[in-house]
This record gives sequence, structure tokens and C-alpha cells, in this order.
Amino acid sequence: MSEEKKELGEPQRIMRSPAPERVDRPAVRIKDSVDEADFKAIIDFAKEKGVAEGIAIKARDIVTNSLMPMKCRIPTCWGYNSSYFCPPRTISTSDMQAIIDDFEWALLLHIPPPEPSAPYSDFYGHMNTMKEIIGRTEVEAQYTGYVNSMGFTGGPCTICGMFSPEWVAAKKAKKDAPLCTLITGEFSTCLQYYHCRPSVQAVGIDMYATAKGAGWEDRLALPLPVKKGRTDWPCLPGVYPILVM
Amino acid sequence: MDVERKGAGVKFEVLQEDLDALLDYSKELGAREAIPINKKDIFYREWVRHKCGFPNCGAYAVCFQCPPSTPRKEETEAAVVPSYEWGVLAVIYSSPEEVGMQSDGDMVRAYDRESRWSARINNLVSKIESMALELGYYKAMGFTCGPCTLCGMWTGKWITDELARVFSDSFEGEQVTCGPMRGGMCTVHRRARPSGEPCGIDIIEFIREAGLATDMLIMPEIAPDCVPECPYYGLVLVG
Repeated sequence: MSEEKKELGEPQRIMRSPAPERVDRPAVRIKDSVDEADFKAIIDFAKEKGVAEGIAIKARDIVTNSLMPMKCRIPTCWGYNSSYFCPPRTISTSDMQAIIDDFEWALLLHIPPPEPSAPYSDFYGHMNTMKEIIGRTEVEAQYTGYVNSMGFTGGPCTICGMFSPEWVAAKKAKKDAPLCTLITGEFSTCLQYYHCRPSVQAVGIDMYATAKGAGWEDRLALPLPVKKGRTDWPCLPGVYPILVM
Repeated sequence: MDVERKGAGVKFEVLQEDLDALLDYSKELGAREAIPINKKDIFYREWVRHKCGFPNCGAYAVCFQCPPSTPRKEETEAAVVPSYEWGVLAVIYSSPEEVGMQSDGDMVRAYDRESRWSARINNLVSKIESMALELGYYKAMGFTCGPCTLCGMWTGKWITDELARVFSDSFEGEQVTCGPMRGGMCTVHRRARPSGEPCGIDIIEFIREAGLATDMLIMPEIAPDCVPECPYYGLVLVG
């Protein structure tokens, strides 16, 4: 075990993710009505980035339930209180419902998590990749003209290096490991603000009921226990929404 | 019991066979009684939370699974009532010798015994909840009774060290404290579940309605042999 820890090395704070490639494109007018061809273009963009499938649904079909943030608390997820994208710092379910009421359309993106038997490092990698995909797709929707687009991800915020295998090993060994800069006050800004999006469960969105309503029941992943009898899985339902218009 | 793990297979309504499987599993794990409980039979009362505060339990404001950190009655009621239909109530009983404070007046020993039973009910509930998740109930949520003692708080050693730290200033080293109460991670997050009482769930009223146990008061003045056994209740809501 000690050898494993040595191999993992010290936890590092990832100061800034590489910026997306610069794309020179003409300015787009802010859109005030929906063009379904744009949805297809945004979904195609997401597929290029690694999304398996995408569909457009009516925003009112997104189901909220105040139980969802309680699921972050009972049992206490390891991401609880770790950043501004997990409870208790996230917005409330009623606020989220009010936001959804202001939108007409949403995209659902299917980003399947690794198999339950996969090592933790795969899940850590998946959480970062998924957040980057959602973040970039949201920005693409904004470039397309839907400026108010708003994406949501799954699991705690991990992009600055928190919860990396090295970070977990350091914490277990009671060593110092970098924490969310917004919470510690070390910096006045989030270092990864391009990619960070709140977790669906934390804001009260029931992705399971939402995906069921969209006919995507078979694409959902359960929060399976890692070890038998020990629930240890953050919210990675495999389907994530982006509110578009 | 082995359940085939599937990537999908989320269930939105409780199947009778799954409920039976959970009841059987609870008994396999050592629960003497395992009863299905319908959501309309769960009582929510504000006063049960305040029993944690007046007189204040030792774990009040010390343990993250105890008040004031736990969800309040109105939050539990608003979230739970529309979301669940069924639950599993699992009961384990401690032996007369292990009824805690009444046993022999030795506080350290009594705390040590109590902490083991609290850990047992947390382990039991977390396992039943995990099984419910494996069966496809993504909303499964467990509640226990008493404080969480899994990280080593409230054990005999912890109490001894705490007494030394507070009263004689003779304790050296780092005392175990609840991680989330300091803004950190819970070291036992896989198994720790909040107590049902501070969330406003009145299990005793359900027990009384169901005729499962006689009313029992455990007070320091009561002789140990008057207390046949002490039940520990665990509730897992299943969706």
C-alpha cells in the first residue's frame, strides 16, 4: 500500500486547464426564437467531443425533486461541502425549478460512465472529461446564439485536482492536499471556471425521472456500491442536461 | 445474497419481490425483526428533533449525523412524502447487559457499549440501502438511531481521552473529531447515516401503532434487570 502511495506522488493543484483551440468565426446574432437545426448542430459538436447521443426535450419535462440534494447528504457523499458545485453551497431546488421555468428547450446528453468494476482513476478521469464536454457544449450553444445556455454535470467538482487518486492518497495519509480555492479563499476566483458546472443532483434535478420521461431509461447508470454493502458513488446518472433557450 | 449488477435497470415502482428480498436480507444481516413500512404509516413530529437538544445529547452539534446538521422535519417531510412508497424497518436488540448507562454506572464502559451498538445499526442500514440500490432503487435512503460512532467517537477510549483533554489537560495527541463538522470529509461516509429522530421521523409512534413493542423508558434510576432489552431501529426508504 505504501508503495502504491509513493507511485502516486504528491497531489497537485491544476492551476488552469488548457484553453480550447481558438476558432475564428463570424459574430452570431443573439437568437430570440428556436431553430431546431441548431440543436442538431450543437449535438453533433457534442458528439465530436465524446458524447454518445443527444436529444432535445422541452425544459418543462425536466423533473425536480427536493429529495435529490438530500441524497447528497444521506449518505454524506465525499463531495459534500467540497466546492461551490455541491451542497450546501448550490442553489435550492425551488430556485432551480424557477430557472427551468424560464427556459423552453433543453438538450439531454448521454455520457456513459465507466463500468462499475473500473478502477477509481477511470471514474476520476470520466468526471473531468464529462465536465469539459458539458462546459464546451454549453459554450458552443452560446456561440450559436443561445446566450443563456446553462449546463449541468454529475459528481463533485474535480477539475482542479481535488479527488484525484493522488489527492485521496494524501488525504488518507493525513497530508496536506489542495482544496477548492473559492472555499479556502486562497484565490478570489475559481481556477477552472471554464469547466465547472453544478452537479444535477445538487440542484435538485432528478435525472432518472427526466430520462425516463424522455424514453432514455435504458441509458441510465445506477449509483452502484463499489464494495458490497458500501454505497460510495457520486451522482453519475450518465445523462446530463443543458438548458438552451 | 448476490444480485446481478446491471449498468441500467433503474426501477421507479417498488416490486413486491424486491421488498421481500430486502426483508430477507435484513434478517440475514442479523435484524431480529424486519417489517415493510408504508409511507402513510411514517409519522413526522417536530418534538422528536428537540429531544436531541433538551436535554442535549452528548452528540448534539458534535456529530454531522445529529442535529443541528441533519435535515429538519419539514425538509424530510417535503422530500420524502412525495418520493417514497415503501420502506424497510429493521430492528436489532442489545442484550440486557449492554443497555448502556444503566448497566453498572461506569460511564466510560457504558459509552463504549453504546457506541458499538450504534455502529452496528449504521452498518446494517448502509448494507440494506446498498442492496436496494443494487436492485435498482436509486432513491434508497437509510436512517438510523443515535449518533454515528463509526469514526471512533464515543468509544471508551475516545471518552477517556476527551475527559483527559477537557478536565485534566493531560491528553496529548490528536483527538478524533467528526470531519464534516470541521468542513472536511467524513472518513466513514460509506456507512454513516443520520439518525431518524432529528429528521423528524417518529419511529416510536409507528412501533406503538403496529403493536410491535411495549413502551419503555430507560432512565438512570431504573434497575438494569427491569430492562429486558434495548431495540435499535433502522429505516431504509425504498422508492
